Amino acid sequence: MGKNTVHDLLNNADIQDPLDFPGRADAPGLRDLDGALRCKICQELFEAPVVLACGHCFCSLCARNQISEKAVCPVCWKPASEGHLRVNPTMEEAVVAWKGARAYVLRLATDDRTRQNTLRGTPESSHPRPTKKRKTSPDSEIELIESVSGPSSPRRSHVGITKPKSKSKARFTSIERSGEPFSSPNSPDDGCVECPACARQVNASLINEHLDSGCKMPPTKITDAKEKDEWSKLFAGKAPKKGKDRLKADVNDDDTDSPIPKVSYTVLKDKQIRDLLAEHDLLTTGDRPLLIARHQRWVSVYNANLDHMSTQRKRQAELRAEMRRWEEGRRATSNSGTAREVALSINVSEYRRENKAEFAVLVERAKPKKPSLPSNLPQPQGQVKKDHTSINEADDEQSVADITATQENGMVVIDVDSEA
Amino acid sequence: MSTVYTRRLSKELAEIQTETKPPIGIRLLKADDFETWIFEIEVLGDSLYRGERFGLKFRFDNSYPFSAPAVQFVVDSGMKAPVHPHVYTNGHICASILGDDWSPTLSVMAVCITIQSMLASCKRKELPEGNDTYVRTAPDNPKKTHFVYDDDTSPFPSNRV
Ligand SMILES: [Zn+2]
Ligand SMILES: [Zn+2]
Ligand SMILES: [Zn+2]
Repeated sequence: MGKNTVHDLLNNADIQDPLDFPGRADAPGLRDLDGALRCKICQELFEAPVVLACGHCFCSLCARNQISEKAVCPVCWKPASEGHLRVNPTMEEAVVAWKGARAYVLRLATDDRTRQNTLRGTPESSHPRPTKKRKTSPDSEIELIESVSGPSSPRRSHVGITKPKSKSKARFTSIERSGEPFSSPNSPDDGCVECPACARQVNASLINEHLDSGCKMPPTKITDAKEKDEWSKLFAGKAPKKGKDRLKADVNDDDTDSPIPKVSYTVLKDKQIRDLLAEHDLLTTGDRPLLIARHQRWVSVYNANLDHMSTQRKRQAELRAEMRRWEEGRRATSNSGTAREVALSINVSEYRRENKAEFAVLVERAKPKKPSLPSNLPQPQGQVKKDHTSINEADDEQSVADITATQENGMVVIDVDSEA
Repeated sequence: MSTVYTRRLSKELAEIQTETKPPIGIRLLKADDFETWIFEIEVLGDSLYRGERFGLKFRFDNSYPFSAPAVQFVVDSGMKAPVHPHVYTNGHICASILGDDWSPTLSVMAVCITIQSMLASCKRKELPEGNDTYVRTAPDNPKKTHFVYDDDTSPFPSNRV
């Protein structure tokens, strides 16, 4: 995660994008491939990929952040929950392999295009870094505008998005992570409900007790005393290692396979939250919303890291560095209207000032890294007419979302379909 | 989240500035930082807003893209909000894509295009019901307003407590 802050961006300048690759005509499939290995939330190559119940894949941290903001899949809008996240080591392997190959393939593709162009006698500059095309309907822009106007009263018009409706709630069993001290391996999944506070699967008959206890799991297999012990170990980051089969690799000694359970903060006093933070060597300053936000963030970052293959996990020191950046970023931006606002301080204008210069550099770096060839001539391929009511980049580009606007019964229905 | 947001925005900006020119009628006016961007929106063709130009202001914080940006029309000495049944005279916009229907897979440009087509499809220039009341009490940040996007009633905002 050491690559996510403005500072690091400036140092690494590694903003990458499927458009780094030549287009379909020159290098079939490469952009699609690069795009397919990217998370549709952050647009980076998957980091600790997980799948939601619907099957869509995101970085673990992106998925967790999304679910805490809104418990649906951002692509298909089906319900999503942390308890149903499943790791996707196969995707991670693909990403790791692609990371190793990407620069090489990019060079090959670029060289190849240069060679082809030389053979064709096409001046290089007529092939600038391929321009993003928008697939458009053949209609002219004006026709399109007309096509969305209808006879009905504008009062009833409605700008919205029709989501794929799915009432079907697939049943999923909870993730069984090896080493999770509280999952009782023998208990059947039937009759379990997801705890609204900690998102773990809890036997329905015990859910109230579970909630009252501040999300301790009921003593099914383990005794109370044992559980207490497990809890304290867990919070101290020293949960027992499970099994000798665990891959050692270069994983830190203090790493474990056990996720930190979510905490129901409403039942905790400030002091108790501070204790939780202290047990993880985290800052204990700030007011209650900040304390809670900090602990939540740590739980997300920590647990997301466990969704890496063991060989890809970060050391605790890196996770802590990530927390420091989070604290900085949190102090620096402040216009949201939620509880976030409360804890924000002072440094905004200073941050802005600093950020301004960095911003310019950042944007400069973010610009397409043209393979060092001039590219000032007009766009090459018959650029399709742009129409402003429909974007469709899915087949050629990394797809952000497909949007089409149509008129239905006097409602403007913006249809978003981001499934490529 | 704080860390995703600057990277996401810098990618979006790079695309806007260098890859695709934005669709016709959408032009980037200002993006000096990761907090406020302003676009000029114009509806071309045969619409009620022919010849009018509007400023569309985006405000971001570190919850982007998990939470929608705060989006409103610029209202100042030089610019006015369009007269539209879903746009208040203070520039606030009632559009579900900016609230309940936001998804992090959407983008700044997707919002621009949606708003542009909202204007393009307008059949009658009129203010939203309750405009004056809303404008008197509206928060600075439109995200603090909870808009109701019911199909069958005119949109009516209620301030979140
Ligand atoms: Zn991601
Ligand atoms: Zn999905
Ligand atoms: Zn397997």
